[in-house]
Amino acid sequence: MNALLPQLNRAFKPVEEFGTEGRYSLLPFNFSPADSQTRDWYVVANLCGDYAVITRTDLERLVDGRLDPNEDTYRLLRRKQILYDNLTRCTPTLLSAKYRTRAQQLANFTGLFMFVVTLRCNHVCPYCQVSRVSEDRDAFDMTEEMASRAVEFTFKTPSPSVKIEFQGGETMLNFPLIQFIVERAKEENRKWNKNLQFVIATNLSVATGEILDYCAEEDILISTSLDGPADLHNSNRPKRGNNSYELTIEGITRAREKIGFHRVGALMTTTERSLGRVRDIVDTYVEHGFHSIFLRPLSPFGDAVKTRAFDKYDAQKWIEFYKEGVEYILEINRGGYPLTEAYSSIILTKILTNQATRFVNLQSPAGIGIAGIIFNYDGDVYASDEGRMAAERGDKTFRLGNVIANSYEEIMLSDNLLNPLVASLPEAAPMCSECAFLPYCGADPDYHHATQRDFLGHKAFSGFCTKNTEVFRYLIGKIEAGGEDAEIMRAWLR
Amino acid sequence: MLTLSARKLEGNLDGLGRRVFRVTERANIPRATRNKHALLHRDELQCPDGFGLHIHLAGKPDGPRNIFLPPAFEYLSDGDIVVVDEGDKAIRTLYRRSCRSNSLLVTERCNHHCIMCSQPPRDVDDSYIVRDLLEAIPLMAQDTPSIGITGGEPTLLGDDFVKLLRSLKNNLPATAVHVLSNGRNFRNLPLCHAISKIGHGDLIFGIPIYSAEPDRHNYVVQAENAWSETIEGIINLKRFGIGVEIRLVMHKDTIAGMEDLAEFIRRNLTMVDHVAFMGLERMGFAATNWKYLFVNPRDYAATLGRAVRILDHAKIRTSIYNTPLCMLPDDLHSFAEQSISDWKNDFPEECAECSLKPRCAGCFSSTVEALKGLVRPKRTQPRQPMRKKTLDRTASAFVSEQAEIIFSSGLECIADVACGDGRNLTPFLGGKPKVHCYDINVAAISDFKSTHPEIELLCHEVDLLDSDFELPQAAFSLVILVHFYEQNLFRKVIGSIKPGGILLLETIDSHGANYLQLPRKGEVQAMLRPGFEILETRTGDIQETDRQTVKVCARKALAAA
Repeated sequence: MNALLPQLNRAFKPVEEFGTEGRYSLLPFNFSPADSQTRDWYVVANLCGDYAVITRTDLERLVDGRLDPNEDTYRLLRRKQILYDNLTRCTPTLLSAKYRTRAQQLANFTGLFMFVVTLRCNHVCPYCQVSRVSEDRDAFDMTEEMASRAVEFTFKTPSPSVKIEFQGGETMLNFPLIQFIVERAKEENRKWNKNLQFVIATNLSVATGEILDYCAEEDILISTSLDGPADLHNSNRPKRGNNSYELTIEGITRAREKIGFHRVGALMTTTERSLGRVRDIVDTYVEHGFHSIFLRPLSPFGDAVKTRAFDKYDAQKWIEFYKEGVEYILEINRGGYPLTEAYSSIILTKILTNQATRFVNLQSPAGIGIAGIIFNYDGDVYASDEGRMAAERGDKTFRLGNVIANSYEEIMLSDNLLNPLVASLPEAAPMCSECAFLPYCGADPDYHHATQRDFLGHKAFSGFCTKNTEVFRYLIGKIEAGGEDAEIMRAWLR
Repeated sequence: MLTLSARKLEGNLDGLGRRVFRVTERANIPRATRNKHALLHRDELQCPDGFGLHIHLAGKPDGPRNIFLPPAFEYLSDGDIVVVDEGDKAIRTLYRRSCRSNSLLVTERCNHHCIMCSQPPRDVDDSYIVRDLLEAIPLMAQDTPSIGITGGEPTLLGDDFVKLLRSLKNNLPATAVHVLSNGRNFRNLPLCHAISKIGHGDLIFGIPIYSAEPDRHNYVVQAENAWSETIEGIINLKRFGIGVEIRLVMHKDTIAGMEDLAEFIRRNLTMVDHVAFMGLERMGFAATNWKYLFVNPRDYAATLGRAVRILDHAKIRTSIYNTPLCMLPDDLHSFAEQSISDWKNDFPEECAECSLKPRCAGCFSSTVEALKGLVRPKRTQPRQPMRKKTLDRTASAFVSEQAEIIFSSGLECIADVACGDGRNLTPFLGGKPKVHCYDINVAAISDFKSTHPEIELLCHEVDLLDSDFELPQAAFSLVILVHFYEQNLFRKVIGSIKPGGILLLETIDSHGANYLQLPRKGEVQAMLRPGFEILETRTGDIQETDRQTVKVCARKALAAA
């Protein structure tokens, strides 16, 4: 020790006297390679998703009990609760508290209730999961009786928050039923006093002033589709007159004026045509003042399969699209324009926190029925939006019952719900149960049923697995690299 | 700093024993209540009867129940509470009505021995303190905004601690209570349960965690098992929904681990109500270990910022305590609180002019000396030149004189720092040097450009007092610094002169309170001694201050200093 440097008074014991006794115990953890090419670095993560990135050598020494308490790696793994020792006996208590927090949203049960108010639509989108029905067929509207029973069903949930989302077709073509449902829900909620939220998914092409005024009065959020610049958006969403983009922008502007700028959200859908255009898509969102964009994968369902759009594009291409998109979005943030990428935001929340994300497609157990549920225009109840779209193609695997003919218990205890929930559970599945990224991931029985005819799916052949694993690795890499990008991403946490 | 206690005082306390009184200045309060009160006499010597005690700040009348206090106790006023002891002839102020947050020390015993403890523990039987406080609490004002409980370690009092909290709840139901504790005794669930049963509506425990590394925390508090037990205590308090604030004192042994600690809290203790990063107070063990522990806050501002943002992004309420605003970057100002108790809050004299002073925490009385040279008062408007506005832009007399002597040395690149309208450059333009001008306002120099189009003039619009402002090293053959002086800036100016180059410094003339902008006596000379040959120097001492005006022309040595 340099005698010229100031020292602590001799009456105090130095830090060396407070060290650990040297032996350590392992806590339950998984490990996976940190990148897809090499086997030099591994992500190790515990039950709650606390992770560290270490070398293969250190991983072996960790497991063999050969780590030295004075090493930085030892301290890192102790801080991250991969191991614990005589100084950190409180660790199991902390892990329990965190695990309970992560599991809390299961206790809250179903929180998202989708109402398909009509199948009628004025667009003809090639990837559409819903069968193309022209504007004039009234047989495809939900009735008031169904809507009423569905609202009763909704309020049986123990969840303190309820989100009612109107889907279609083009929802606003059956606006009176939307009003009916909002009134019934508010009335029912007087008994329960839950945090009640409404969202309308719409292309905004028939959003009259009267409709928007109603949305403003009732605090209804609007979610619309914006796929990118005009040429891209229009080719994804053909419409008689080929002016879908112009109508969308005009609708967004009017909706913002009436209900509030930040109450209008946009979602994009990725098609074959979108790949390679991610910068243009992001620019479109920035141009129209959005501060959130969701780089979604194309689902292998519905008309996508029929038109072989899905065949044309695979997980790897989407990953490149996503990474290029996120890098560009980070550049835009560095330039001073706050823009969140929503999928990254959800995953980062799962990686860096123990908060619930309410994103039904990436939950474990699967979000089908127990996180979100959907009432179709004909009163049938499905475990998920994908499930009801599959029914339109003739596959009723995920049909749970009918809201008029069946009781709440019959529907929620239906084999069509319980079987896929149990079968797809990642904690019990080969490969998933040993994956370091398990706490961040989820089950998607819809996807695997559509692509492999199996609720669990063999993950080695699963595009869902490939995509998500790449995203986890990429985001962990960004956080570990630190710097401005990591700071920007931390601001995206929910 | 206020004097809160004194012993061996004069007066007649026969038969008093040890008693708690509420102070009053009103001689005619109802008789029935006088026994609980001590009447405060500022000059009136007459002692109406019925009062439990008479406190005299002037005069020493005869008679029982009189105590005479020195002027240090002039702060006492209506509603304050004191305890007076016959045996010691002592008085202690327990509570001040005018204080926003009174702190009640409940014991000096502690099971920790922190290396920076401002209240070093004493292993004594001080159970009389709790008795005093239980007497005092019912006398406190109903609208007291908050009460702090400190020690030592309050939970060592066991049941007495619960009694104190219950008394605070019963007597002061609208008063927020903030307890400082190391939290280890909350491993004991029955204790947590007993506190929870009190049902206090606004209770929070301030519990320190000094590192995410258990051995480093245990070293700072000098106790085995501290870290793990503290965390278990926090979890238990939270099981009962009791408020918890995590505190970190920033010093040499805690600063390096701040970001890791923030990350640890963010991940594992998300449910805490507040996190406070605290500047170091120079009392007790902190004073003993000051040279070892103290770090200039500006040196750790960057890591502090990252730690604060880790928590803020996670929506955990975070504050910075005991740190002057000038030591924090602007984006951290919203986290800074005026946290220092009024009776020990002080500001270095330089801060008198600072525009941020009303919002600034300032220093502890004990740290004013240490922080004096480090503060950077912020002036409200860009500095106006102290000289009179001149239409004919001639250089100052001193500069013109020196120009005669040094002009012969070839000048290729010169700098005028705080150039104003550039008048001091005029004697040096013959050789067509490249000129760099630095000022907070470059509008004035633009005229110069148009009247001297042949000169290559580069203007830099900068805040010369900004710590991030840098001058290029060894770049100029002449640097002019006229009518603007600040020590750190001067240091940068010296560094920017080439070997063999010239410094021309002229401070403002002194008048009124502007002496604070002048260098201290000998300061400039000391900074020039290594490496400069003084060609001409003129100084003028300012009476009754340690400052002087300085005019100096100096040449930097050719060999590297």
